[in-house]
Amino acid sequence: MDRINLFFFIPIVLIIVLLVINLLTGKNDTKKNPVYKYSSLIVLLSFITSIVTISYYYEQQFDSEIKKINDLLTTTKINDSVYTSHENRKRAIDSLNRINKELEQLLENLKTQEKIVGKKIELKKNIKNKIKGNVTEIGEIEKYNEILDNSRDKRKGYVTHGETSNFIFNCPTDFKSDYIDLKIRFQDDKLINKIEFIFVTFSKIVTENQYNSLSSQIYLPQSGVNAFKVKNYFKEPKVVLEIGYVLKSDKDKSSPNVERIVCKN
Amino acid sequence: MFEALIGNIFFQTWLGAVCAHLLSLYSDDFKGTVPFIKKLVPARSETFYYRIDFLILPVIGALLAYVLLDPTNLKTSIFAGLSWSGTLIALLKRNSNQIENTGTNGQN
Repeated sequence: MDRINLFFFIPIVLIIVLLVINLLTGKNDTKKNPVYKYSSLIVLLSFITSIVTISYYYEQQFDSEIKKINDLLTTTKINDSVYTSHENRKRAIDSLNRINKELEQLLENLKTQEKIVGKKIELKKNIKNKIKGNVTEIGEIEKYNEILDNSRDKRKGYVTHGETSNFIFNCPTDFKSDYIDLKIRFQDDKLINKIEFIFVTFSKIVTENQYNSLSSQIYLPQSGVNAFKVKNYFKEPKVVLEIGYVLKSDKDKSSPNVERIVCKN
Repeated sequence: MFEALIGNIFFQTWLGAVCAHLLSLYSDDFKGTVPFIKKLVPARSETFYYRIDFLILPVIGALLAYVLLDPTNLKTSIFAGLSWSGTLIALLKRNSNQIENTGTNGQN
């Protein structure tokens, strides 16, 4: 128990002791017993002093924490760019977890302060909503496939046999947004364990046989829907999107066999 | 449990009312609800009336303060209990004097 709380609890206990003494004796001793007279007066004065002091202490503490709470409550939603690199994604999750930890601590402090400064139902509701919102955002980030370091992709070229039917993928039709969601679903979930990585590449068509790479990222496969949020290079004309996978058995080959689907805008 | 009790607004108001009642004991002519209780439940010991008065008055004061002033924090609830109990004590002091005077005149 904090020393400041003891400063408050002791006079309360003494007031209750005075009450019990009065009920047990059943008579007014204030006029007959000078020791009782002055000691009860001291208890009453110390009680009132402790009320004023502890109220001031907790009000100050609450005022300093409310600024911190408001800062944490007004943190903006995470940017779409967090989905484009492993570091950004990790940093965003860590940051949301840290904010939630701080909010939980402040909520705990608020529960103690409420006993003195009064109920703060609306504020507590806002904090709880923010914590829930952050948990949802973490879930939102984690639902996308984990981004892998591109050094795991040792391809110098690849072998392909046309478009694959091992997974379902609909080519994006949004050519305006800054970021787009790509989702693939494997026909057979048993295949997922055999996949080394999924790749998503965008290339600019220079001539019929010449392509310039715009972006390339590899991802860890996951069961169910595999989702990727990527920068929308389809905003530019003549761009090719390739989405596919490399099997674990081919991971060390410089020209592995890839299963892919190609989209053009 | 003790902490939950301390955080309760009604308990805080009641503590304020108890303080007001303890302070009222310093007044020589204040008899609280004793004259009323004596009329309601006659022929009991002075200790009995003192104890009942000590239980009833702070509760009535706290109830009035809690309902009428609707305190929201420790400071307001303690002082609401203190002030409403004080008001009640002042009212009772006048009324109990009147009751006593009526009783004395009746005997004469």
